[in-house]
Parts: sequence; structure tokens; C-alpha cells
Amino acid sequence: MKYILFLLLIVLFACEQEKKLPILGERQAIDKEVNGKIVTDTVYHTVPAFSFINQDGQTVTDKTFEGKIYVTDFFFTTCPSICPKMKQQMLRVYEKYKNDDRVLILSHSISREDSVAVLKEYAKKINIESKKWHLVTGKWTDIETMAKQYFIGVQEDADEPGGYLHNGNFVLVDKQKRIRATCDGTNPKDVEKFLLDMDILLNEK
Amino acid sequence: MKNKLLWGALPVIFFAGLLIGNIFVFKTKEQGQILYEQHCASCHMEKGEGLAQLIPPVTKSDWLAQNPSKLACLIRYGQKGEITVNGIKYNQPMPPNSRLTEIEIHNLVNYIFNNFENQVQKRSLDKIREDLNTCN
Repeated sequence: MKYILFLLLIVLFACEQEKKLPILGERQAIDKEVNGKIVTDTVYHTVPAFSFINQDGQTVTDKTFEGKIYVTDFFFTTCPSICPKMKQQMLRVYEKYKNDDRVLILSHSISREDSVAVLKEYAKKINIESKKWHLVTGKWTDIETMAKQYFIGVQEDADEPGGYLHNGNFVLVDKQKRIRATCDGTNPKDVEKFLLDMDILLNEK
Repeated sequence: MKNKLLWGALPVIFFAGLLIGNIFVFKTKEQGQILYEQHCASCHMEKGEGLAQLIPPVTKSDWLAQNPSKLACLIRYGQKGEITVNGIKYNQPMPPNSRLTEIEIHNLVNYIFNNFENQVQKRSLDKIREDLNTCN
């Protein structure tokens, strides 16, 4: 009995130490030849290359996020439904990692009306630095394509307030461009846990 | 005989208790609060603090104290252009809420006036009707 308890403690302790986030998305097993032997390798879902323009008119690509982890979401500046709440919560992420060079934020605008100038004004009003938090715009179909890659649905819908339909998730991407966590960006409690997930990811070896 | 009467009274007392309990529980949310949560809270936030320099607060708002007759129109037709609240200039359009009835606007206005640390005098339904007739 004592033995079992002891073993259980060890197992529990081990779990505590190797806290890792899951890798989200579909995975594929691929056979590769390494030194003449066939080895099965797991290929995870990764975010493909992209290129958008941020609030300073600068080009932002997947290279911008190389060697960093980043949080991403989809919004638009005139969105009257969930965006203000999302931005209030994203500001928590911003404040927490403002001085942490390992973390960046990428918010995609899904409105055709959000020009660079509009995004610039928006950034000024929520008082954020473009070095840390990129508000980007681009071709609508490119934005839509990327949303799918982050498992976020966006849609033009004249019946929706503001003209667009989208969900308010935050998505956490690791240095290997794999998706490691998501949360409901309008829910403060969910975001609380997400912030802890970010710390776990930063501490992964 | 006495016992029978007592047993007969028990269900009556039980259901009366349920009814009173219900009234007590559901009384706590007035229509104004429900409307605020449905139509206002996603931008002005649950506690009324607004968002940075983008969306003005409804909490402790000097604009409300100075313009009590303008809130009804603002809710119904939305807001465009610059508005200064507590010394900060905001310029983000607010969408109209054209489906709200006069009575709903009345309840919403008074809920805002009496909560969020505001102390603005309640407005009667007649006053709200007058306000709505003078919208620009």
C-alpha cells in the first residue's frame, strides 16, 4: 500500500514538472528515410506563410514572428458586438508581456473599411506600440484564408451588426508555428487561463 | 381533525413560499439592467468603464449629468462625431438602437442614471417622450 502511494506521488510530481501544452489541429504520420531506415514522423498543423500591412504601413509576414510566440485574433474597428470586449482582454495580454521580447500580438482586421490610417488611429486610442502589437489589414480573401488556418470562422454577413460575422477566439502560436492554445477572448476567466498557458509555453524547453 | 387541517395547509404554505421566493429572486434584475446587458455592455462593458480612449464610460459620467435630456436620443439614433466625457475626447460612432420602444428607453435611461455611480435625477416617461420628439 505504502509503495503504491509512493509511486503515485512520483507520478504526480512528474506530471507537475513536465507541464506542456497540447499541439492542436490535425496531424499526419509521414514515413521518412533516415540513414537508409524508414522512420515514421508526425507532422503537425502549422501556420503557413502570410503577408499583411500593419498600422504603420509596414509589411508584416510570418518572418516577423520568427523565434517568437504570438497571440492572434480577428476583429474590426467598427465592430459593435464582441470586439470591444476582445480588445479589453487583449490589452491584458499586452500589459502582461509589454516588456517581454519573446511575445508578440497580431490582430487581423476583417473589415474592408479598416485602412492603415484607421488602424493607426485605433492603435493610438488604445495606446499600443506597433513593435509589440500589429493591427493588420490585407486582401480580404487572404485574411479569410489565414483565419481558417487559426481555426477561426469569419464571414461577410449583411444581417450582422457591423456587416461581418466572426468568433472572438484568441489563438496562441509557438515558435514552430504550431497552435498550442485557444480561448474565448470575450471571457475574462478564459483569458486568465490563457495567460497561464502562455507562461507554460514560454517555459517549455 | 386539527391534524388534517395542518396537513392540508402544508402544500399551500409550500407553494406560497415558492412564489415569494421567486419574486425575491427575479426582482433583483430590473428591465433596465437586462437591456443594458443586451444592448450596451459589449462596448461600454458590464461595469460601465468603456474602453481606453475609444469608447466613453457610462460610469461617473459628467456628460450624463450635464445632458440628461440627450441620452434617450443618443440611445435610439446612435452617436456620430466627437463627444467629450470626463475631459477625454471620443470619436467612435455608436450604432443606433432603433428597435427599442419608448418604455424600454425610459427604463434603460433611468437604470443608467441611478447606477454606475451616477446620480442623475430620474426622468419620467413623459419627459422621455418629449426628449425623443426633439432628437436632431
